[in-house]
Parts: sequence; C-alpha cells; structure tokens
Amino acid sequence: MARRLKRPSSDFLLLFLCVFEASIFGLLAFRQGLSYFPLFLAALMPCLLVFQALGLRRLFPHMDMQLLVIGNFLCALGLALLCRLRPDKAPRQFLFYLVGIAGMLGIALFVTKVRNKRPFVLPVMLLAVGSLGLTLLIGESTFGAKNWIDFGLFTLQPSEFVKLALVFVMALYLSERRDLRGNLPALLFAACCLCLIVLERDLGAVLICFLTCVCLYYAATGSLGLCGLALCGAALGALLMYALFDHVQLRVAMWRNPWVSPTEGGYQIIQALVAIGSGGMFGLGLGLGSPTIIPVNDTDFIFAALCEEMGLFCGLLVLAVYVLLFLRAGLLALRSRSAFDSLLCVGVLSSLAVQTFLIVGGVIKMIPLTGVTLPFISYGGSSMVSSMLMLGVLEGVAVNAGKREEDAWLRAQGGEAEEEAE
Amino acid sequence: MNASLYELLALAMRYWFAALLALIVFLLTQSFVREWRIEKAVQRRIADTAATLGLRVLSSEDRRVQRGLLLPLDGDSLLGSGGGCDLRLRTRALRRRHLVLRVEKDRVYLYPEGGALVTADGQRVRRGDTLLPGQNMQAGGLVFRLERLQGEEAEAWLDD
Repeated sequence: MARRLKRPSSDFLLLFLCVFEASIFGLLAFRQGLSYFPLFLAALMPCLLVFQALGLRRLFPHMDMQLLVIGNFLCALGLALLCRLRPDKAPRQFLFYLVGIAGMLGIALFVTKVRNKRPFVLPVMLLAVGSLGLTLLIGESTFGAKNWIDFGLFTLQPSEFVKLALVFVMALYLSERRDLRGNLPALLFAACCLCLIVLERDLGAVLICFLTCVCLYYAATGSLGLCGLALCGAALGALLMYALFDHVQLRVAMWRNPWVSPTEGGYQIIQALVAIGSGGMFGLGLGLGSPTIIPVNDTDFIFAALCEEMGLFCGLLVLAVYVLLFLRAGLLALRSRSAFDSLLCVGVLSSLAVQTFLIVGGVIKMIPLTGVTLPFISYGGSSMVSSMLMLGVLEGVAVNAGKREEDAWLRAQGGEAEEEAE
Repeated sequence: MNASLYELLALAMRYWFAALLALIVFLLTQSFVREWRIEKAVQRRIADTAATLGLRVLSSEDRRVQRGLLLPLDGDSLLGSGGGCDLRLRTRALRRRHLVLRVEKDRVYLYPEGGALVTADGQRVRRGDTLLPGQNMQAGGLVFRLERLQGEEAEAWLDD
C-alpha cells in the first residue's frame, strides 16, 4: 500500500511557542501592578496559535507549519516588546496582527485557488501607482519622508504594500518571458514605483524595492550583465541622493561618527549602542532596563530595546529565526514546480532579507540608518499586515508545492494512498 | 506584585526566555535540515521509480511549434496558448485555455475547457475521458502522443 509523504511533526515547536507566549505576556502582566491586556494576551495568543495550526491545516493540508510558527513567534515577540515599551499602542498592534492573519489566509487562498492570475496584474499596477501618487499629493511627512496617508481611524504606508505588488507583477511577467522586451511593462512599472518612492524621500523603501527587483530579475534570467549595470546605476543614484538630500548627508555623517553630535543627530544611534552594550549576554530583565530613552524604540530601534532587556544572546537567536525564515523561503523556491511560484518565493525572500539587513545593520551601526521597520516585530499596521501577507504568499506556494510532490510521490509508490492518522 | 518581587522574577526569567528561544531555534533548525534531506530523498525516489508521463507533439498546423517537442505532465496541467497556462504553446492552433490534463495512476484524464475540440484516437473527448500511454490526442491544430518518460528524460525534467 502506498503511504503518504510524511513531513517532520511541529507539535513540540507549537508547544514551546505557546509556553513562550504565555510566560512572556504573563510576566509583563505583573510589571506595574496588574495589567489586563498582557494577561489577556497570555491566554489568547497560544489559543490563536493553536487555532491557526489546527484550522489552517484543515484548509491547507500541505501548509508549512514551521513558517507559521516563525511568523507567529516574531509577531508575539513584537507584541510583548510593545506591551513593555508602549502599552498604549499594544492593543492597536494586536488588532493589526488579527488583520494580518486574515490577510495571510486570503492571499494563501489566492495563490492556491486562482489559476489564472493575469487579469489581476493591471488592477494591481494601477492600485500601486495610484496609492503612491495619492501619498505624494495628500501624504504626511515623518522624519523627512512623505510616506503616510492619514485616513482618520488609521494611517497607511502604501510603500509597504507596493513591495508585494512589485513582487507579484515581476514574478508573473518573468515566469512567462525571459527577454527584456517581453518584460518591459513590468520593468516600467518597477521604475515608475521607484521614482514615486524617491519623490516621497522614503529611501529605505527605494532600496528594498530596487534590490528585490534586481534579485528577481537575476533569479529569472541569470543575466549578470544587466543586473550589474542596474547595481552600478543604483550606486550612482545613491551618490546623487547624498548630494541632493540633507537628511541622507546627516545619516551618513552620524554613521561615520555619531559622537560629533551626541545630543542631537547622533543621540539615537549612541543610545541604541549603549542599550545593546548594557544588556550583556542575557539582558537586564524584561521591564528593568531603560529602552524608553531610545527615540522611536517601538519601530526602528526595537531591536536595540530587545537586546537591552533580553540580552545579546536572545538578539542573536532572533536573527537566527530570521535566517531560518529566509532559508525556508529559499527551499520553497527550489521545491516549486511552477516558475511563478518560485519567483514569488525569491521576491518575498529578497524583500524580507534586505529589509531585515537594513534595519539591524543600521541599529548596530554597520551601515547608515535607513528608517525601515523590522518585519513582524516593529510597531506599525502597514508593516505588520504586509509582512503577514508575504507569509501568506509563502504558505500558498508551500501548499502548491506540497500537493504536486504528494501526487508525484504517490505515483512513484503506485496504488491507493493510505489515510494517515495525525 | 511588589516591585522587588517583580525584579527578582524578571531577572530569573531572562534565562528561561533565553533557554526557550534556544530550544525553538534548535527545533526549527532540526526541522529545516530534516526537510532538506526528505526533499532530496523524495526527488531521488520519484526520479528512480516513477515513469513520468509526457505529451509529445507529432504534428502541428503552426510551424512555430516543433515536431517532437516534449511537454512533461505533472498533477493538473492547463494546456493552452494564453498566459497562466502550465503548458503554454504560443500558437493560434490552440485556444488561450484549451484543455486541463490530470495525471493519476499512470493515465491522464482530459477536461476540455469551454467547449474546445479535443479528440483521442479520432473520438471526441468528453470531460473526464482518459488517455492512456501510446494513444494520440488532437487538440486544436496540434496532434500529441502520450508517452512514458523514464531514466534521463524524467530525471532531467525533475531537476529542472
């Protein structure tokens, strides 16, 4: 009798993550008297995790459990840090997390069930360009970049979703045609989005989108020449932006020597470095450090706050989790039988990897700060939802790949498949 | 809970969180390594034991489609000339979405799309009809033969 393909079980992983969530939120509930919201999360987060694992497994039998665990772990850690740093923002971030789960489910359904994705290309392109154009017209500026639209009840950062739109459009075109002429619409769309984001002065998002496009193009065509040319052009563009924008010059100067202006321009990076150093290997203890001194500790510098209170060891483990996420996305790209699915994985992987590198590198002063968020962890509705959407894309591809592998495996085995008790 | 008690608890739980995180990372790494090995074993097994099926083009009204072209079949495959097709042939001899082929147990089930004309060994095909290895099929202006692929042909496709 043919046996179904058996993947490694994730039960222990789910159990340990539930224990982690319950203990970290449970501890935070008693930080300042009794706080009900962390206590509520200590009970609800493990239930949500189990619900996702059991419920989604029924809907998508071949979903990648480990990816789900990684995404939920990072979101839970981010929520916990927010309960510590900005308890007033934590409920809002939890709502965005719930929206993110729904979005993840929706996009996984789209990737698995919708056969012909071509009709969606034009609306996605128009929506992306339209939202960026709207941001330029009515958007609000924060820290030198005009990249927010305030809708009253919530604010939206369109560039977060444009990353995913770029991945979708480029993956679709590149999976069908490998020549430059055939991909002209996608490349023009990418160029248009990049120009609009440059006009918004959101240079972090420009870097992420540009490098994602280059990675996608190289993965699809293997064309070193064109990609090399694009990177040279980008280097020239970076020099031009350095010459034109004051805040770029400031950031480079502070990266080179923040001690030149320790109370003004260099204050943020100095505080972050001192926080990371103060934490030592195991941290000062959750709620016992002073991460609130660091400006924007809930978004750009949340990694520094994590290292201060939970230690460098935990910080490195969190980075290891990100690396495992990227490795799994890479493995999915290799497993996929469809070029479109593979390129989706490459696009998501590049986008998340570049974003993580930019923010962590900026916080530890390896590279100049770019003001992007740490995926899944940083406070921000747009960031949370777009990260969960990317996770949904990976899950959708995992389901497609798993289904095809199962069919091929059963054909190789021959005969009827045996129902396997879980 | 008073402040000093919380302080003691938070200091103690630093090591608890570090241990839990280390365990989670260890399990994720172990799982990744196992998946990688399973993946290699699956691909090897499929290549060694499976007789993959493929459609070979016997003749075509359109010169752009080469005779002898081999289209490997895997699971559900949509054959047509439009974008989004798993087996895409850029020819007017086929409709944009012509036919879905489902491989199951060493035979192919045929599902013509939207009234497309498909015949198997001269007989008009209805939805769910089967095509066996060695049989000929005509879809639009193209004639195919269903073949078993083995050895290098199957392995080359699986490694692609």
